[in-house]
Amino acid sequence: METILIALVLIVLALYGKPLFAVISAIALLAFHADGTDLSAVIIELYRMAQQPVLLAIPLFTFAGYMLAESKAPQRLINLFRAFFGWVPGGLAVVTLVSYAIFTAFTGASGVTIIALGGLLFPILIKERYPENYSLGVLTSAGDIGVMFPPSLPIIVYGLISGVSIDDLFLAGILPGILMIAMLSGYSVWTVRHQNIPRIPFRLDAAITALREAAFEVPLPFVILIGIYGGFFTVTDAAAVTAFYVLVVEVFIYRDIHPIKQLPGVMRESMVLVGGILVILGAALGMASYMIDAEIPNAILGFMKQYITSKWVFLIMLNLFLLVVGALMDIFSAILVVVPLIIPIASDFGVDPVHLGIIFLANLGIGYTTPPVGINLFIASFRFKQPVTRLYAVCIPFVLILLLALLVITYWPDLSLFLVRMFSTTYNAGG
Amino acid sequence: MNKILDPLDRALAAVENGLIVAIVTLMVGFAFIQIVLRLWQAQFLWGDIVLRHLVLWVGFIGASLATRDDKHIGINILQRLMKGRWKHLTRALVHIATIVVCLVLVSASYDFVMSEKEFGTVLFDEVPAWMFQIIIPIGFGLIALRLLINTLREIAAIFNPLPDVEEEVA
Amino acid sequence: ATLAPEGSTYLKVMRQLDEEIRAATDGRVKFKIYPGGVQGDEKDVVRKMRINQIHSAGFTGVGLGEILPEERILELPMLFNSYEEVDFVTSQLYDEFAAKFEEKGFVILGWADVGFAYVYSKNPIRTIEDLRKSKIWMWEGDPVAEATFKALNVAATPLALTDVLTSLQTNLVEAVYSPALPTVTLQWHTKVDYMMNLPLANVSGAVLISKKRFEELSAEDQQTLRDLGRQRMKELVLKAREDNDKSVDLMLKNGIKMVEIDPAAVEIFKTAARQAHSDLVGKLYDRALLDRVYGTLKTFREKKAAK
Ligand code: NA
Ligand code: NA
Repeated sequence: METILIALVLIVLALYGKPLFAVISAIALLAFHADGTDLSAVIIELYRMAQQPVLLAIPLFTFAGYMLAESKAPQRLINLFRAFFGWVPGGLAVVTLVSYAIFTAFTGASGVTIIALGGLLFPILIKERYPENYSLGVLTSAGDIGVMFPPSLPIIVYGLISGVSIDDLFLAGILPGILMIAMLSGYSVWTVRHQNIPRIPFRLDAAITALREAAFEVPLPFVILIGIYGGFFTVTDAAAVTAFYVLVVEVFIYRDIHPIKQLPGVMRESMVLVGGILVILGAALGMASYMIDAEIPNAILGFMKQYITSKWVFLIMLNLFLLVVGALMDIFSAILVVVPLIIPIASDFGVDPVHLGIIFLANLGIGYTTPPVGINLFIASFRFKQPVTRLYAVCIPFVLILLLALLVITYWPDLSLFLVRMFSTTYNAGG
Repeated sequence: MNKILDPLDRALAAVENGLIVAIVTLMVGFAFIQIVLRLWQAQFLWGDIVLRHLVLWVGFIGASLATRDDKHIGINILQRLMKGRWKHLTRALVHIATIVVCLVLVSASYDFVMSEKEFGTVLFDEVPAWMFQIIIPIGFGLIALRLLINTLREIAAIFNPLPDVEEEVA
Repeated sequence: ATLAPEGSTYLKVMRQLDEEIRAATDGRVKFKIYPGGVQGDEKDVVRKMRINQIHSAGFTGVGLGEILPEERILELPMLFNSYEEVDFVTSQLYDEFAAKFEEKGFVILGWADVGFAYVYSKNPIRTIEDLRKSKIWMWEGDPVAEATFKALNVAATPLALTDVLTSLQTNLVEAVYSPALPTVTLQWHTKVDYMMNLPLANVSGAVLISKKRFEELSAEDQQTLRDLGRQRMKELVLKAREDNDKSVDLMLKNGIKMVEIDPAAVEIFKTAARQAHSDLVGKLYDRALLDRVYGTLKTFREKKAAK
């Protein structure tokens, strides 16, 4: 009774605009209090962030993204896109999806993608006459796909927790990830078919001019790629190099941002966003910790197990379960909590562990854009200055298509396992 | 009312802005230097630990400024239906409820930091961890203080409502 | 709570211990087990035990050192030559350390050593120069590792445990150190080609219970817990050593080559290690304890030689 009352009060407060970090913190604090646990348990979880090496990447990528957005880089990139892809119907949409997926794979957290690329692509899409709802939808939800591609951090975490070879998982995610991009690209081209998006014939001299204008920005993704795969640095280092490089390029080479008049403002605005994300992340970690303590996932699974009879029923239930978990938790907590529980059951039903990993990632990736705790919805709300409720609505078609892709991925194991069988040296087919 | 609040608010914001500029500059510069030094295998062993704690610092200062700008992430559906006095009243109430949570968080994080101090947790070498962790209670305290300023403004506005302005962000 | 994953030997023994304790105490004492580091790394778990959120946990030296820094003396580089020596010194210090842990609010249920750490690398390492040339990982924030590499004059790359595999993949680090079983569990063995045949250091471990929680139990249950715990942990150590051997076999089968160290080089490593031992005096332990451990080892070795 009391619990229901408290829940109602919190829901009403949340709907009246109480900051989400305070709502989630309140839940965690109340739960720990009821449990008789010292309330500093919530802070211990929050402080765990400071042990995550990738934490540093959040402010650095955010700052770099804000600098790019504040400079004339979007304009230069529009010119470049027009010159190279203007002649393809729906070309910009495909470029958006691919660049989002690659960027998310590298940053590990698709929230960063929305900050760094979303802010950049939004004005371009609008300028190219893509509908606003479509643009907001694609820029909010496309980051979900990135977790499927190497070297995404969720894949690595999954491998660490499950003991499945990370190399195999890297290979396994590629085709399902491409499927997701292909399906969303198809939808995009179909959506904008009546939009009369201007098609520009390809001209070499225009392309070279555009390329020369953006000469300092074009190498950026390659610097990151070569840096990571060449063994020069980690993802966090990539963030540091990006921030430093963009600072030098935009402030001192292009001189788009004045170092005294504009730069402090860019720093402030980017850190306001980082602060908003950080307090929610901390609160979510606190709440997840209570759920682990109370063994809530175990209870849900125990209940599930009573009704499951076959592999296919199990996979349906697993998808539903993971979608709920993905909606309530961030992807890393979800992997940490659920993977050790599911693996023994899944092997009972004969699900391939590599395939299982891809099902996990696809599900939890979609959780980035499903309410109530789809962190990308909130980051996008911040970045694009749109109400979260509007973003819920515009993401629906994208989430539905991703769910369709998820069905294909779940019930067609060979899609995930094809490349693994072909190239992996560690994978044994019987397993 | 505003004669006392506004200067306080502005002074606080000026300090916070200054700190953010200083820390972000330090963070970008130092993170880059670490990578360059690593090429000669000469980086500071404590560098990455300190950098991650600086993230907590800018994060909490940023969160305080987010409170000032009313930019915290949230689901704000019903508030938009409110008009005039009711709007200010409900906002004040939500602020107060958030202050309560923040104060509990201040107390919990103060306990946490004091316990770290008591057990002598070090960040590296002889540098105690609590010196860096202290930003957690300070940060939640700043957010609470900012919310208090906002609450007082809303209460003042209940008795002296201004014409409604269209909101920019949810 | 433990960093050990579900399905590992460690977890199997813990579950068995749980069942036996439930049976022996008529269900008055039982464990809720959180494997695979879901409760955070060892420093976090120590914090949670201090506020009584977690009552019991399995730690390696990193977590144990957070509570009682001098425990790390059992993990000093090149201190022990064999598991016999490890067992002997550990048993000599058991009661003393147990009492000191209790002063800090923790009851020790049993030691559970992980085993000797070896260096695994992409290029063969035979001498100290080879080591200096390769980019070697160092567990970020570990004072023992820091002192060791400093004494060896090796510039190591500090990284969190979670970053090691990707860094091996990208050649950010080319050499790592760990006991054999974790090397396989963490999949590091898929990224290296050589194993240095030189036991670098013992990786200690123990299961602790918060004293506050322990004292809520009846004296009889406390004794049951202590007896069963110590016994099962002893078996666990033996099983862990077996698993380490099996992991080495597995790695050799997968094509990893064992590199023998030049005897002259071993001496250089030993001298540097001694330097690290004394550099840590005053930081982790006092001179008297170090001398005592040296003395114990000396007597043990003399006795052994006499036989
Ligand atoms: Na979600
Ligand atoms: Na989520």
